[in-house]
Amino acid sequence: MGPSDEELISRVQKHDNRHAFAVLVRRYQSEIRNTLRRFTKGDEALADDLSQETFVKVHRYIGEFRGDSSFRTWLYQVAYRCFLDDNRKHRPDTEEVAEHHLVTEQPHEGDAFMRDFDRAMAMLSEEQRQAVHFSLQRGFAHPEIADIMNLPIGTVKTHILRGRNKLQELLSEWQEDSSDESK
Amino acid sequence: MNQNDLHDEMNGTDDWLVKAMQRQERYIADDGFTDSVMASLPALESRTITHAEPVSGKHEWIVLAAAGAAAATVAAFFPLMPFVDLITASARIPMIACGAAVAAGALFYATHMMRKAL
Repeated sequence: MGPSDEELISRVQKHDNRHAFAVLVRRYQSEIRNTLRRFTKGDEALADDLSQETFVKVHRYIGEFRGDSSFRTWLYQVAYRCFLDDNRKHRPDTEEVAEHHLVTEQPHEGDAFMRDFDRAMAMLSEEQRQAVHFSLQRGFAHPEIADIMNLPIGTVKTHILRGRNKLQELLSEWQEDSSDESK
Repeated sequence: MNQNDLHDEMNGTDDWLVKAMQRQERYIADDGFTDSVMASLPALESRTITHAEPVSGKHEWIVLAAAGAAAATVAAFFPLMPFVDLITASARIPMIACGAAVAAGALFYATHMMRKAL
């Protein structure tokens, strides 16, 4: 196990230590890229560009990070804002690309759950999908998600509850299979 | 339904969905991603030079203008002594004092600039 996020951030803040920053990027690149791929509906190139922009911004503003929230929460906050900014700028193009990807995306071979899961997620509203992702896949607490998405905590809870209920309904067959396996 | 009801309902649901979703997460190999991020960061040297830049150009003119304005103010309130007085014994002590003050100021300025450059 390597140095903690706090130690690495302190080295970057005090000495602009590039090695420490590279360790942080390597530590979080997979989950940030996965999240942005999900938000951009599978547009890997756009997701990777946004991920890169996220880390560059984090480096630029790391001096202002005071540790009021965890580094991970702050990182996701920056990533989410990059996504929203891009979405606002290129909304028509993004939707075209998203539709294109939805049409051409190959199903995950041998991974039926993932295919059904993607279909179920597509039935949620955009904010429900994002809140559910932050909560269920990333394990953030509600106040952290409220910070990341810049929404009132009550709204976040409602998005998660409704999204989760819809997913459970749409994936109920998988729930039954799962409980059969555990018996 | 109020917020407490929402919270209770969410805590009451089982976590099969959470486990299934987290199990499905695929690790994305770095494959040069970190290197491309690091290459996009501003160069270390340029940041250092920005901090070490000596006072120059516009700033130097500001310093000179301020010094000129100060000298003009002093001259207005204390008319210049006749030139001959400068070489008399009575003018030597104030001249030495002025010279020492100017030398001290120059030394302080030079030290300040060297510290900035380092």
